[in-house]
Amino acid sequence: MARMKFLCDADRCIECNGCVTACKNANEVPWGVNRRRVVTLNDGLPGEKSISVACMHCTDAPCAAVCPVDCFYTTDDGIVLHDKDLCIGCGYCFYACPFGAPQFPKTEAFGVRGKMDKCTFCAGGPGEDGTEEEFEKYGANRIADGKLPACAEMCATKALLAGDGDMVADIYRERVMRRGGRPQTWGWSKAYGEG
Amino acid sequence: MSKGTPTRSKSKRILIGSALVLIAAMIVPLTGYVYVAVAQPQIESSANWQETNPRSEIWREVRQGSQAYSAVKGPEANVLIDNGGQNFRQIRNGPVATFGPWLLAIMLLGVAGMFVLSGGGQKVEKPLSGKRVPRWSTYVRVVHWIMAIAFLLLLITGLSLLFGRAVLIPLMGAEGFSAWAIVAKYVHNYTGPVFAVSLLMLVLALARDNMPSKVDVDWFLKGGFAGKHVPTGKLNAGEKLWFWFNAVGGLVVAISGIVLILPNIFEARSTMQIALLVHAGLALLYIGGSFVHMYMGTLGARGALDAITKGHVSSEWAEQHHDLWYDDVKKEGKEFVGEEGEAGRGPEVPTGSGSTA
Ligand code: HEM
Ligand code: SF4
Ligand code: SF4
Repeated sequence: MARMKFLCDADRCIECNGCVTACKNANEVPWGVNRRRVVTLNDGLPGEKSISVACMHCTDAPCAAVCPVDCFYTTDDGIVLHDKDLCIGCGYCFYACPFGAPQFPKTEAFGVRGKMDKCTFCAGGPGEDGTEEEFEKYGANRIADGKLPACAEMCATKALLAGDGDMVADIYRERVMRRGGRPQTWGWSKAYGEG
Repeated sequence: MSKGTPTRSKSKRILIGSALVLIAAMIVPLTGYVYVAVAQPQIESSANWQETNPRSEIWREVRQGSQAYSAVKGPEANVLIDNGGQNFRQIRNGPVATFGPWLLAIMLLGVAGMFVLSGGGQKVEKPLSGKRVPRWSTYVRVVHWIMAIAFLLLLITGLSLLFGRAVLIPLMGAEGFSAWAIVAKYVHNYTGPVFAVSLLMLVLALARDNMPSKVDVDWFLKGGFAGKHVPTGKLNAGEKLWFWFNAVGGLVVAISGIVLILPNIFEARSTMQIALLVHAGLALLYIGGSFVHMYMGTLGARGALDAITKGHVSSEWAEQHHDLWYDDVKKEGKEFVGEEGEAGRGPEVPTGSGSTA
């Protein structure tokens, strides 16, 4: 069974935000919500580095641990999904997540949070796969169609890798070996621990 | 070891040897701290760190949650990693979730113990003459009950959010609990400000009555907390303690709660993490304290409930529990004859079922 992971190669990412756009387009996410974002370190300075980040689908997911209604679940592929029918919009997952992945549409009075939205690894949500209802609540279910997340497929420099963790790591390792330098599996120890 | 060694000294040596090994086993891991203490300043003090290894510097800063740039705008969208979440998770799901229920259980048992030890709560000893003395104004009583009802709603809904996953999901199912949790969230969010305002009003109204005095020290020294009567004014030291816990702890619960309902104003996760932990931890202490308060007001000191429902108490109750205050009120000529039904009954004192003022 695959264990899905994201990896962003900071030596390749050119901060084009193509992944952000691809995600918005594929999932038609609510207004004001960005499931993916690109963060640039040392912006405009020597040594500038960019990283595309979304939910990393953690092994021991902090968001799931603190959710008062226990609405998260992990698929057989290691993808962390949540049930919007159960979510109460309390924001605890956002406080616990290291990557700032959970997002909230600001639609209610006094800024009360609506239902949480986050990256689904393009795997939809609970309920039947590929339905209209699933698309409206969670966005695309490309995984059910045998495709990988839209962001990584669209990435022009192939900086953003998505797929089985072992394969992704192999590709990255080979790259580093060819070009030299040290590997930087950004966020992996935080998200996946030692495993 | 030579052959001729007597077994006694051999076993002694084994003993000393194993003791040394044990001590070493305990000390050696501690050297890690020494290493960290020595190595850390070295790393940090090397001024040309950035120049020698810019890459490491970048990743170190990222792990420490430093700010960067992102074209996507949102709360802390420009921060790659926030480490506070891990502490938040561990403290909330750890100490708060484990000690909380223990604390509440101990307080409940404590109250039950007080009830048993005092022989079913303190009763008014003298027969009731029907004379009454005024105690709390209408303003104080109305504000008290608005606050009390708000408190109970916040207690029920707040505990649902904290412990519902462990306690209520097995009972109600995930869908059932989620439906309740949404109601609980809204009730909690809208009752919160009501509680905060009424608490503030009550604190302002009662602060003067709760100023500590010399008598309060005696109350603690002479065992007032154990149910012994020590001469007291309008409020005894235990009641004053509860008041000041409310004034400080209650206001902190209220302020942290208000921070939590305004995520658009307080965007930083670190603020919210701390606010929620302070809020939940203090709320649990507060709930524990409220058990004692509710018990004392009803069964613990019979006749006290009249003070906050009718606004006046029997003179006998006043004399028994707050003698110094009773003397003052009597001198001021405020004692009056109560309505029918407020006199004559024996030491078993009414619970306030008669008509109200
Ligand atoms: C004074 C005004 C108060 C306000 C504005 C307030 C607000 C909040 C908010 C916004 C939350 C986060 C949950 C959510 O967003 O739905 C919360 C949680 C909570 N509140 Fe309050 N609250 C107040 C008073 C109280 C009081 C008096 C108690 C106790 C009797 C209490 C107990 C709790 C508990 C136990 C939680 C759950 C914490 C957790 O799940 O970790 N709150 N409160
Ligand atoms: S990255 Fe955040 S939202 Fe995604 S699984 Fe980890 S903690 Fe949960
Ligand atoms: S916002 Fe929703 S998903 Fe996040 S912790 Fe609260 S109930 Fe769970």
